[in-house]
Amino acid sequence: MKKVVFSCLFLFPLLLKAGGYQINTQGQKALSMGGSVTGLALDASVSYFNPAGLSALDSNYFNFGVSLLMPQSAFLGPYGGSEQMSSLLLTPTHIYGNYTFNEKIAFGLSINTPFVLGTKWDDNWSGRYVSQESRISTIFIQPTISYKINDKISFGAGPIIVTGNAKWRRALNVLNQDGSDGQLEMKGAGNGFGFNAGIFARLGKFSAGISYRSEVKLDLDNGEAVFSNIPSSLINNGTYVNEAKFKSSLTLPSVISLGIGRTISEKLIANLDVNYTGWSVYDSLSFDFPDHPEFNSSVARKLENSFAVRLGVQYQYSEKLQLRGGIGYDQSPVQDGYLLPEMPDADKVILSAGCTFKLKKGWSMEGTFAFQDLRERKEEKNRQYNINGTYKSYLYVLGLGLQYQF
Amino acid sequence: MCWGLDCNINSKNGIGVFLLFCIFFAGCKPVLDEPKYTSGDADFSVYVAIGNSYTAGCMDNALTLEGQLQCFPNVLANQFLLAGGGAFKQPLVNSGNGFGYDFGTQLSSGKWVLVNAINCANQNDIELKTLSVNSADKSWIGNQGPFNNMGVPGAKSFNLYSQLFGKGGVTGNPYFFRMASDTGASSGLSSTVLGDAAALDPTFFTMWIGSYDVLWYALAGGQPNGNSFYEITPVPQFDAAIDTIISELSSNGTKGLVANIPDVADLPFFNTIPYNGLILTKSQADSLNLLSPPGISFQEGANPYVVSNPGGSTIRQMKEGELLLLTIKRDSLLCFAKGTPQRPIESTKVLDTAEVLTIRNAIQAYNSKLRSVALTKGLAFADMNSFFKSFTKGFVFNGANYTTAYLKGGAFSLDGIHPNGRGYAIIANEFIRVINAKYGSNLPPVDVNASTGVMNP
Repeated sequence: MKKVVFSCLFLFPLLLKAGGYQINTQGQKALSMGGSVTGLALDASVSYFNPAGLSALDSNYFNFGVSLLMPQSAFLGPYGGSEQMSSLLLTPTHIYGNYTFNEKIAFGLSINTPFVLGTKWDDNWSGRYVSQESRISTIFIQPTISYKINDKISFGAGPIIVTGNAKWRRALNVLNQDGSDGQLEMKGAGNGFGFNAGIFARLGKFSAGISYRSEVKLDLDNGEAVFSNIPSSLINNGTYVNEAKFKSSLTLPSVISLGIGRTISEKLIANLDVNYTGWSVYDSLSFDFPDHPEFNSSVARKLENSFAVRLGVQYQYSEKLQLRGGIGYDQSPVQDGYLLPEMPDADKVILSAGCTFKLKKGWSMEGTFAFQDLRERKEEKNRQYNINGTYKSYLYVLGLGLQYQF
Repeated sequence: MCWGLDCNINSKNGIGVFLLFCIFFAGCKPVLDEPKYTSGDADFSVYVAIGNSYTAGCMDNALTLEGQLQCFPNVLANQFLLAGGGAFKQPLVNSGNGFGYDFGTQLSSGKWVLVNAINCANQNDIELKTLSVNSADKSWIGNQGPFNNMGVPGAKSFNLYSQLFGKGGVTGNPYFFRMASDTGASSGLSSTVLGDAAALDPTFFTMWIGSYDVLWYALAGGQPNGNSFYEITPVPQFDAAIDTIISELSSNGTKGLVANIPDVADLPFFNTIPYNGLILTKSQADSLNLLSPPGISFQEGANPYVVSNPGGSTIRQMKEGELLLLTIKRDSLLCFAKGTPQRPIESTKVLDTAEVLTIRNAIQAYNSKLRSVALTKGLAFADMNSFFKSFTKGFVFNGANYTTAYLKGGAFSLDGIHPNGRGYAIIANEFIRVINAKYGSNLPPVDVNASTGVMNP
C-alpha cells in the first residue's frame, strides 16, 4: 500500500493556483486540480471555496492538510551576477469540517491561510536596501451555513475572521566605519473581518458554482520597528532611534470565482474555474510612525485586478484510489514599474497532480505535488526604488492531507 | 525544469524521475544567463585615463588605495574586461591612510575620517580627524610604470605636458613625481603626463581635465593674491592645452571619452554652509542691530552671514548665490559668533557674486571647448556639468538615495570635493552609458551600492 500511496503522489504533473501573495494551497483536492473546484463539491473544503457547496456534499467530512511551499527566485540586475533568493519553506495549513444538519441546512467551518507571502534574499544582496525579507501570513476563520433552496440550487454564506501578521526586513543606507549597513526590521499584527457567499447548482451532468469572498482590511496598529547596527553618531544626533512604533494596514483582495463542473463518466469529473481577484485595493503600502514622522514611508504598489483560469480533473482509478490533475494560468496583478523583490511576481503557469487513497474506517490520505512556473520578467524602469533587473521564479508545493468521512 | 543543472532531460523516460530528483534533492533553482558583452566600435584593450584627482581616485582629502581601487577609471577598466579590455595598471599607494597633500602649505598628511566628538556647545557631534601619512607613499615608483591611470591630483590642463610637472615639490606636483617615468633628476626636465600616457600606445582613453583650472581659484576664495597657481587659466591657454592633449591622444584615430567640468557650486565643499546660516532669536537680533554699522541689520530667524570684503577693512552681509567654503570652522559658527559684524568671515572663505560669475564664465568657456573637441574628433562626450546638476537633485539606485549633499547625500567623501566609492561608481555608470551610446558597446553598469560610502562613527 505504501508503494501505491507514494507512487500516486507523483503519478502525473498537476498544478496549483496563486497570484500575488495569494497562494491557494487551500485543500489538497483543490491544490491537485490546479485550484479548480468552485463548480464541484468534493469535501469539507467547499466551506472555503464555495459555501453553497456544503449542501451538495454527499456526507460529512473532516479535512486537514499542510502544504510545503518552496519558492525559488533568481534576480539578474543590469550590473550582472545572477543572485538567488535564499531557500525558504512556507507551510500554509488548513482544517475543514462540514456537518449536514438536515435536508436543507448544512454547516461548515474553514480555518486556513489563503494569503501567504515569503521572500528572503541574502542579507548583502544588491537589493538589500529594498528588501531582505518579507513575510505576510494570515489565518482565515470562516464559519459557514448553507441552505438548499431546492434539489438544484443551494446558497451559502458566512463571516470571515482574519488574523494576520507581517514582517519586513531591509538594510538601511547608513554605513558604519566597517562599511556595514544599518538594519530595519518591522513587525506588525492585526485583525480584520469580511464575509463570503456562494451559489451552487446541479443540472444533470453539470454543476456550477459562483462564490465571492470579500476584501479584508488588516490594521496593523501596534507595529514595532527596530533599527539596529546604526552608527552611534546618528543615534546621538537624533537622526535615528533604536525603536519606534508604526501603524500600517494591508488589504487582502476580494475574489469572485465562477466554476463549472462536468461529470464526464462515472469515474471522471472535470471542472473549469475562472477567478477574478480585486488586487487593485492594494494601492500602496504605507508606514506611519506617530512619534517619528521623519520615518514615514509609502511604497506605491498599484496592483491591478487579475484573472486566473484553471482546469482540473478527478479520476476514480479504483475503489480506493482517486487521481487528480490540473492546469492553470494566473495573471500577475503587478504592473511594470512596480515589480519589487519582496514579491517578484509574474504571470504563472500552474501544473498539479495528486491523489486520495482510502485507508480504513473512513480515513483517507491525500497527497499533492504542484509546480508554478513564473514567466521570466524584466523590470526596466522601477518607479520608486529604481531596482531594475530580470526575475525568474518557480514555486514548488508538496501537499499532504488527511480526510475523515462520516 | 532543471535548466542549469546537470539534469539530462533529453532522456525521455527519465523526465519524471529527473523532475522529482531536481525538486526534492537538487532544489532546481531558476537560472538567468548574463548577456554577451561587446565593445562595439571601440577597442578597450589598452585603456589610459588622463585627468586630475577625480581620475586618480582621491577621496577623504588623500590619495588612498581604497580610492584608487574605486576610482572611475578602474571601475571602467573592470567593465572593459567583459568586452576585450586589458590589464589596467595604477600607481597604487600602500593600504592605509594614503597620501594627502596641501598645495598651499606643501605639507602632507593621511586621509580624513569622521569621529565622534563633543562640540563647543557641549553636544554630541562628529568631527574630522586627519590621520598620519605613510611617507613611503610619497616615494617614486615611476620605474614600475607605465601606468594606465595617469590621473594626477591637482593637475590643470596645461600641466599635462609640462616638463617641470614631474619634478615634485614646489616646482612640480608630488603626485606626478611619484609616478613619472623620469623625474628630471639628470636632465632637469621630467617626463610628462601626456608622454608617459602615450608610451602605452592606448586604444581607448578618457580625458577629464580642467576642473582645477578654476578650482584652485575657487578654493582660494577667489583671492589668488598674486600667486599664479590660484589664478584661473585664461581661456585661450586652456583651449590650446586641450588641443595639444587631444591631438596627442587621438593621433592615430584612437577612440575615447571627453568629459566636461561640473559647476563648483554643485560640489558640497561650496554649498554645504548656506549664505544665510546665521540663526538668531529676537533678542540676539536686536542686540546685534545695536552694534551694527549702517547697511547691516538682523531679524529673528535666518540671516545672511557677515563677511569681510577683500582687503578686510569693510564688512557686508552676504547675498543669495554667494558661496561659503567648507573649511570655515564649525565651532566658530556654532559658538563663537562667526559671521556677525564682530567676527566677519574672511573673504578668502567666500565666493562673492563676481567671483562666482568669473568661475562660471570660465567653466562655460572650457566646456564649450571640450564639447567642440569631442565633436570634431568624433569622441564620446560626457556632459558632467549637466550630470552634476541632476546629481544635486539626487537619484535612487536599488532603493538607496544619493545626492551631492555633504555626508547625508552618501556619494561624496569627507573632503566635499571628491566623490566616495559610490559617487565614483555613479560617475562611472554615466561614462559607461555615454560610451555605449557612442560606440555601440553594451557594457553593463556597476552596482553602486557595492562600493564604499560615507562611513559614520
